[in-house]
Amino acid sequence: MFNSTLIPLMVVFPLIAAVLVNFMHQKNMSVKIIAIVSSIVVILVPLMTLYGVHLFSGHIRTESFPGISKLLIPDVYMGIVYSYGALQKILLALLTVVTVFVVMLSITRKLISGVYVAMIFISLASVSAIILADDFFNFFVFTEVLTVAQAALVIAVKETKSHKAAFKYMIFGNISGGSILLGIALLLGVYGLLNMTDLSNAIKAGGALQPVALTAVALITVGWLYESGLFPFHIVKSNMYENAIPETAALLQLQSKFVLVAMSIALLRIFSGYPLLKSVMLGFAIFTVVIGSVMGLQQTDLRKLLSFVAVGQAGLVAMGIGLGTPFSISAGVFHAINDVLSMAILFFVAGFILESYKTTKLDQLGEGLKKAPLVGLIMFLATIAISGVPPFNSYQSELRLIQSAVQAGYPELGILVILLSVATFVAIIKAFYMIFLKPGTNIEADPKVRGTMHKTIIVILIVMCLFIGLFPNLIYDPIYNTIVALGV
Amino acid sequence: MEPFQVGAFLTAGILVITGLWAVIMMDNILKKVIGANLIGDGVNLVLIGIGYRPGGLVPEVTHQFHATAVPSSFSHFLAFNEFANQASYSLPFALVLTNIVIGASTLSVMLALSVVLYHKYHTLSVQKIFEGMEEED
Repeated sequence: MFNSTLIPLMVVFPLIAAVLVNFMHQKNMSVKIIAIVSSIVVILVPLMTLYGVHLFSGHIRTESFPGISKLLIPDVYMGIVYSYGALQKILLALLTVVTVFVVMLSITRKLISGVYVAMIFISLASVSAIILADDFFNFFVFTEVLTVAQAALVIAVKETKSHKAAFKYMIFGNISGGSILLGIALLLGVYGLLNMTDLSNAIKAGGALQPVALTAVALITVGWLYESGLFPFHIVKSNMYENAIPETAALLQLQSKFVLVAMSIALLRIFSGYPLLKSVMLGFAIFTVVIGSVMGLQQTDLRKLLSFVAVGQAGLVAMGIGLGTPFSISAGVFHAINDVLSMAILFFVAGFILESYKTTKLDQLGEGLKKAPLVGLIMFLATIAISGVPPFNSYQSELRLIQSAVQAGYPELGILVILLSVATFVAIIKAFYMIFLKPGTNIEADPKVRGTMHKTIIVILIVMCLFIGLFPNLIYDPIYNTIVALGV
Repeated sequence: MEPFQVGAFLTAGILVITGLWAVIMMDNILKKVIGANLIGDGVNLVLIGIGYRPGGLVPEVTHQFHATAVPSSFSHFLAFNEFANQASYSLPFALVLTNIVIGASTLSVMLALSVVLYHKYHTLSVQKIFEGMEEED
């Protein structure tokens, strides 16, 4: 494997950028320049980096002296390892693109300066590390950093409701963080290892899981539910989305889904011989899909509605992964990539509406098509994209999800996917009608808001959705090959 | 398992359960924050318990081992096998140190949020704070 020195840059560089913009807080011009330069670099680094691994401090695999160390495998990694392959490249490319869009929108807002942009970069570094890390403790550390950064992004709204949402998120984050770390501690106690590849091999070599290791699986699964925003933590997550600035919510939902993917793959790799884990994942995923879609249908505020739709879609991703076949896991990961794009468009549209009308309450809005026909058109296209209508991207992933459910012997889950698509379509098309088509409104749009940046971003994103929809194998094949190679 | 480890795991269990009780059942926002912190402390104690070895050598500060040493030429060094058998496992302590730093940062953010909510609603009762928010809506 190629030992690439560029791999850690994907984590280190955003952290350096965060320190710099934080240091320049209130100096708007300096923040803008650093943010723009950093944005260019963070987009380029994943594209320029060759596939391979990075061994921190150069520690190569070393003999473990099983007779003395009591380890179950003959050689182990002695340091932290980051792995970079095709799947990581796709995830990081998308992550950096959406992050840069959010940074660009943030630096155009006069009220938000260095600290806010710093938190965006810290969250980027955290998710990058979570995607790259092959070390369980490193993984845990960055989930904790991500929790603080995401809470800070919501706190920046400076409304009491956002403070409440962030406080709840932090409290539950503390519980889930403790749960993950306790699970890691128990695994360390039983197997003496933290590297995921080594842990996976040691668990396979050790035969049936011991009760302590089973407790560790349960504890880490609790953390997985929280980090992914799945039932019963869906309320906490949707609260975060609805109380954040909508553009930031686009980033938060993307981060949550990518953490869901990274953590699910890590869990399935380590505990591949433990089928109950997949059943548990599937169960919680189904609950999340049902609750997310039902709650989404009931909302009368665009931000709340999108928050619950995002949660329901996360359930769909988890469902694919929980089915546990290479085909379904690949379909789930593919759906995560497609869904974050469509949801990002919808949240950016919500951001534009909030900026123009100062509200996202659907009953107060109307006749938006006269003010912003392009935004209305893109919202409509994003609605059909997220609902799985061809030729857009989600059609390709939802089709694969249905096929994989049938192949795995659960045709009823295929029906659930179709029902969720219908529910998502109904919920968002209702919002579309009330914002853009409904006659009679008592709120005037702010004529100063042109939303050029918003419009550019949503056009780019919808083109990306269409491109993936037309050429799905460009994204799907590397995912499938990676999943098969990992043996999850 | 050593008596110290049994004691550490029991104490950790008590800390985690107390922390969970405080987070779920207590109405005072500061008690919730303290409870959340107790959970982290309990987990740290589990890690310390795992790394404990009675009379174990501390690899980072002892000088009884060198990778290329031969005991006959360096009489104060231990052979690799001997050293490895006596050394304690230092990785859990490194994890505890990192977790303390993470815990301090999350604690500070939660306390800062508590201060903001207190200034807004003049109460530390979570129920009253949430009622105040509902009235604002």
